[in-house]
Amino acid sequence: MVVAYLTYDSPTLRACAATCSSWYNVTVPHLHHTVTFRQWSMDISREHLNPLASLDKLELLPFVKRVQFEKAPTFPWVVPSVFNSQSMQYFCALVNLQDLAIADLDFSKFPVGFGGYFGHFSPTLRSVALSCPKGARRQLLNFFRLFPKLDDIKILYYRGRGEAYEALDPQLIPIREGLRGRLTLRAFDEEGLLKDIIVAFGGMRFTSMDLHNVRGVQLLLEACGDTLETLNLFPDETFQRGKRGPGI
Amino acid sequence: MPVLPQHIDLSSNTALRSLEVLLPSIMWRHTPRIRELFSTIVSPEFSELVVVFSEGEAHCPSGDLACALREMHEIKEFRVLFCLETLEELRVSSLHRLTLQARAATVAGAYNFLPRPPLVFSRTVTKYDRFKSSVGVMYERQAVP
Repeated sequence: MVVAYLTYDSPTLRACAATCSSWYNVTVPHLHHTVTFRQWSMDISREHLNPLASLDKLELLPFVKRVQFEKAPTFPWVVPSVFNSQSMQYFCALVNLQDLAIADLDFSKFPVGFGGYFGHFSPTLRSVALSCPKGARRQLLNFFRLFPKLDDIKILYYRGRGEAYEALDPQLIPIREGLRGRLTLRAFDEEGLLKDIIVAFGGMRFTSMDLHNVRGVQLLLEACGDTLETLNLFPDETFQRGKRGPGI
Repeated sequence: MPVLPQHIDLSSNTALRSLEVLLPSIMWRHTPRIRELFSTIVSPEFSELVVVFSEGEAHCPSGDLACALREMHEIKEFRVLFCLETLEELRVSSLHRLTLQARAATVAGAYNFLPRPPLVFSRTVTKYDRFKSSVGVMYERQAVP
């Protein structure tokens, strides 16, 4: 129980794990809770999921609850070529993954969709965070539709979307009765996309929202009129100065 | 200039229980907007305001803050919670300092308009999740006795 409070304190967790076998058993799920992938050069992208191989060898992959792909300095690197057959073998062994965070995901790099790469997380994935995603509106929605158990959605930009998402197919059929749980949006200026998300998911029933410089706040508030319990308003003056019209 | 929500109306949010704002959002020059926001709250469930401190702000500017909170409390009653957001690891010293300052302000009577003194707690945001640099928040509420 006490060890759970040390989730973000890796040095202490490692020290606990080295104490004795009992402490090791208690500590190891927390020590391997999060796996972070970073990329510094385009040349080695295919080797980038290699850390999973060592975790697999030690039978630690089932302990991983959160995977995060960090932003590369100059290019989006989460592309299909990263997920070669060997990497996918390990990637698919993350059977308890609950939380996925990807920076700079470019949907256009996945012309045949995402199901083959991320779809196997659908039974367990509860939280998705996309930082600066790029691509068509339909692709963004289809990505979220892969994960029916989502109760925590984050879509974040640094200075606003900057370009319009394409119009959504009006025939899109809602996949379930409303998104639930928690929504985090930052520097999000696509009110039209919010409307489409509401349509595509058959409404919104979020109980918690973190809204950091969002256009269309009132739309969200009204969509979640009878469910919203906690509202986080984290405004940013810089963003406001550069944008037209009201927001947070 | 505009920092806080303009034209935001919470009258449709009938289940709203808690509102969270950053410390700078609640201080004197933004208080009128927060007051406007409070005046739109109709939820019978509404009961708490969480003031979020980042680690660099781990001190309690009791005068201005208490004044702003008092103005809001006149519009709508709520309990106050101070949340210290820390990156990756909880800095116990920061939390302790904030707790002591909140207690001192309470003893000095700064929060005597509240039925209960502010509760101080912390939550951890991961490096990746840290706002300004990246994504949202992962919570770990740790109430301080």
